[in-house]
Amino acid sequence: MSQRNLYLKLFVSGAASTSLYFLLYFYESEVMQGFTRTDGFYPMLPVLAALLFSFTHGAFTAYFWEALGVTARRTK
Amino acid sequence: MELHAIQFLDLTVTNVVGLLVIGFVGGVVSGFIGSGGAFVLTPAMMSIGVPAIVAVASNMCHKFPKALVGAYRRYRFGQVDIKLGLVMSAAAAAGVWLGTGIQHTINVRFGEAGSNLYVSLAFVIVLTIVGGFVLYDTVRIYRSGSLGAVEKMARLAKWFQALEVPGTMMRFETAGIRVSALFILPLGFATGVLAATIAVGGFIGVPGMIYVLGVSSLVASATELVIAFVMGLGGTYIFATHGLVDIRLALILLAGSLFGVQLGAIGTTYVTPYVIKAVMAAIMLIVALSRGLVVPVYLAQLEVLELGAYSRAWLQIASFWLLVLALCVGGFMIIGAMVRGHRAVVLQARQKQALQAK
Repeated sequence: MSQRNLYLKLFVSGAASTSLYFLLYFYESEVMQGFTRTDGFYPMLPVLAALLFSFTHGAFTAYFWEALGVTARRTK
Repeated sequence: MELHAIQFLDLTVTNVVGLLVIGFVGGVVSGFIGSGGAFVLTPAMMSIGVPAIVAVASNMCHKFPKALVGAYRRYRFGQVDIKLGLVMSAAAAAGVWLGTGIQHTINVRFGEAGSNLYVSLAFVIVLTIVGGFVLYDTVRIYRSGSLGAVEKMARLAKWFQALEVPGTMMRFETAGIRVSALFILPLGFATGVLAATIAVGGFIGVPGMIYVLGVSSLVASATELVIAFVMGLGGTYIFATHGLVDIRLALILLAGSLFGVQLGAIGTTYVTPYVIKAVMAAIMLIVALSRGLVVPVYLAQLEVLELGAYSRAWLQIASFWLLVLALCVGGFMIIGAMVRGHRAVVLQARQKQALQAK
């Protein structure tokens, strides 16, 4: 991956992750009301939210370490 | 039976920053030793006022996507035995179902103090036994002077592998073992029960795979991430059906720990298995002591023991700072080992270049 591509991906994933956390912050009370409901489909909400945040933020953190040059040793 | 009213944590700036730091260090430890990292996260959350049952439920929610990311990365390093992970996961799912049931029953009958006591006692017992065993093994390897040597299989594991039970024998290619499912399934089940009790199944899963099944510590810690994913997903759903998951805590922990888990996973490629064991032992024993200190406080809350307000406060403060110490010790040991390992690789590459230039 070229440096330009890497920084672009870092920026896009970082913006997406930040947006999700801002939404969580601004709608905290609504989120807590919905996510602690025990009826119907509601118990699935924490599972889905954790996956959504994880993939978005996980992509950002992976690009973050790559951009800093912290990578795994390839040969054992 | 109804649950006691759950008091969710008020998110102040201090609490959020604390959770981010705890998440990061917990993530580094988790990526490095493959034990979920929740063994420092659950007590840390309890120390800042989160009820034990919510801490366990929220930790399970935060750890399963993290385990997925960690498992994927370590799969790329060739360290995950997917077949072993899935077989263990099937049994672990049943264990999680039983464990969440026990948690729910204790909370209904004894309230928050009962849950806190149950979870803390589980931590003290499990961490002391497992931490003590891992420490013994680490000291043994250190005294033998063969720190970088290939791991030797435990005698117990050799004995289990030698037992032939017709119709139940399974071969696992990446782990390089052939063993009866009759030994794998109880191990998976116990891993699940413990995961639903303290949000960490890895304390049974990882040492179990190493010392009972004969898997190398690198493959065991990586495979545990597959099991942690399955247990975490199932456990989150079951706890959510009781309204016990605090999604804010889970997502804030995730924000810090996803940075950490990837760094920890990268770290495993720079160190010897001996270092992983040394880190495990140090953190486990310090956290066990930290949880042990607050057991009298919960006993006093349940009116089993008399304890003054001053003593309660001091025990809680001492417990909290021991936890901070455990996080710092773990973080420094891992990052120190990574830096040393990286330097050695760079030095080796330079020497090779110099030789080629000649």
